[in-house]
Amino acid sequence: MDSFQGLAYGFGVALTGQNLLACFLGCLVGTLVGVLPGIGPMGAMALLIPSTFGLNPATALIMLAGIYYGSMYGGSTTSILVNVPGESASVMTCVEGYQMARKGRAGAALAVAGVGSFVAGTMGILALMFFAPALSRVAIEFGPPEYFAIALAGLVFLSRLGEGSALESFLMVVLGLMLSTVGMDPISGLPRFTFGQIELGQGIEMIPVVMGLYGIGEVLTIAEQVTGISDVIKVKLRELFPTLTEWRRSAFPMVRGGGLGFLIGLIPGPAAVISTFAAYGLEKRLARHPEEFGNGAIEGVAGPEAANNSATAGAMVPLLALGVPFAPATAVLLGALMIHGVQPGPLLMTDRPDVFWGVVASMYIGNLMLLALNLPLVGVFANLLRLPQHFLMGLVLLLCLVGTYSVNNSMLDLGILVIMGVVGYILRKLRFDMAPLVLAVVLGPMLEKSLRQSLFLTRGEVLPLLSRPLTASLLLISLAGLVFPCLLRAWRRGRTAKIS
Amino acid sequence: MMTLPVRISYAFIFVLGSVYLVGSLQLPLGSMDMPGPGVFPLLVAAAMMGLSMAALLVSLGPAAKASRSAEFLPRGKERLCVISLTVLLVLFVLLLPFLGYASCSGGLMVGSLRLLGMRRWIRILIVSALTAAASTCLFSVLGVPLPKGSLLG
Repeated sequence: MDSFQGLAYGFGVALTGQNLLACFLGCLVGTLVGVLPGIGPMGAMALLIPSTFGLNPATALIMLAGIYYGSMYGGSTTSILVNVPGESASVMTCVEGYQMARKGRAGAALAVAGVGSFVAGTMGILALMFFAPALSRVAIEFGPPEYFAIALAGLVFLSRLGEGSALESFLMVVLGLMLSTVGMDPISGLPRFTFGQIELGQGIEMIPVVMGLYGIGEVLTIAEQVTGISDVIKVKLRELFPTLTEWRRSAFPMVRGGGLGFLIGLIPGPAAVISTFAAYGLEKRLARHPEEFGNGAIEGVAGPEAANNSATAGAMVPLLALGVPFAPATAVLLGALMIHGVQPGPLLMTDRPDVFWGVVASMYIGNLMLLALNLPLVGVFANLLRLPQHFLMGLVLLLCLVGTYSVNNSMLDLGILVIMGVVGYILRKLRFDMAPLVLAVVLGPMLEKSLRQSLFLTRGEVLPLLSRPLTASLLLISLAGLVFPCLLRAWRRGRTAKIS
Repeated sequence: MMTLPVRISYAFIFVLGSVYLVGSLQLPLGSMDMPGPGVFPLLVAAAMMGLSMAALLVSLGPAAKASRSAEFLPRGKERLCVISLTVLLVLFVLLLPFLGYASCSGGLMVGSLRLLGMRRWIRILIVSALTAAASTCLFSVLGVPLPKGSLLG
């Protein structure tokens, strides 16, 4: 089936009562998660995976994907009204959005952020609709060497694009890879590092790792901070209409942000966050009045907000077409699909068109729902910040524990959750980026299996691997990703020394 | 100056990598054309040791930047709060099979609300009891299996 037939089929799946409800719930939870600082989309998706056990895989993924892109909408509300980014991808919106709010243009900023998110989200889904099937068709020809190169490139690029230093990011990658080797060997079935525990033979699940690092770790960090109730700027419905000039100034940044965000979404890394910085930089460079940036330039709201939404659609491409998550949040979606017995990859579109096209179509519907939810109810969501934090954090603890336990009814998973919570707290204190660790836990088994299968195919020779064009190109790009920044830094240092 | 805890963390990863290396050497390594279960862990262990040593050396060198605050763990009341919350979580995990979800979740909420800043005991008890009851009902409706506790039948 071609893309349009697929989309029509997908609407047939997404427009059933159960899937519409799942989409709405996902979008609602996503908005709440975006509004409330503390628990991000990854933690929320991981928390809700157990509640999807009774659902079919398409419904489950529709709901979980709704949380992912819905959180991008919610994040802008608190950034503009309270100067608190509910989600890391909304940091740039604080810069201009809050300044606009202080000048009495909060409504306009919120409307532009909402409409920009909708426009770019739709652009991203359109691109996803054409990119993912094309990539799937190519990926059917991929063998273990290609998958090895893709997984390796994913880990290298995520480490280079993350928040911390490259060395620390690579340390997180190897820690994640170490965790991924616990359990049964994927090829021979031999137990490894299980310390005689039969339960550990299944390996370390991703859910306790994600919930521990991002859920429990966050609560422990918040526990040591004195918090108050935020001061929320009030917005009335009639103030939600930007002026004609504001619309005109926002139109191109929305389109540019949408395009840029989608392209960044295709690259391994925390796409949503990176895309907002890139879009903000681009708008500042192209602006007719760059001096307005920092004082409430509407382009600085429209561009980044469009970019982070479009990036979520871009990040779905490698997940759905290759079965390889390039971002931590899509790694959670991959985990959810596998729990439901669905193997994402090039064959997903033909084997499970209900999942593939159902999710794509639900993203169109979800974007409309989010626009309708976020603009009129903006005051309600912003007021959620008045909820006492001790209650919210207590609830997060409880949900993390129940969510983890219910996946396998395993006490061992609960133990891993608490350990990972403490590890997450320590890593936060040390300011290490945890995303490479999570992605390495997910990509580790694939990396190992494809490496060993590749060596088996080439009878232990490395050179034949390089005769495959895609493998060679990806390995070269990975190598360049490793070496080029170091050379650039050394060159800059040398130049600075020469000048001084 | 790079703080001491960061250096300690690098050293810890190095030690962890060494232990992991020993463990991976005990697994069959196979051959180049038929790599065994020990090969990948061996490569990861070597990378762990190499990277942590490099990070440690960089942190000791003159290029280390003043990028981190000096304080690692909080002091006084805040430190006690973090440690108590961790103990509370460990207790939850240990007692869950015996006391069941309803009692443990109530206990966890009482402890966490108090530790996270709620002051009035009456309010803490009411909120905890309501949360435990509501979550038990909600998860039962959602079909999430929760332990009932061997001591409470």
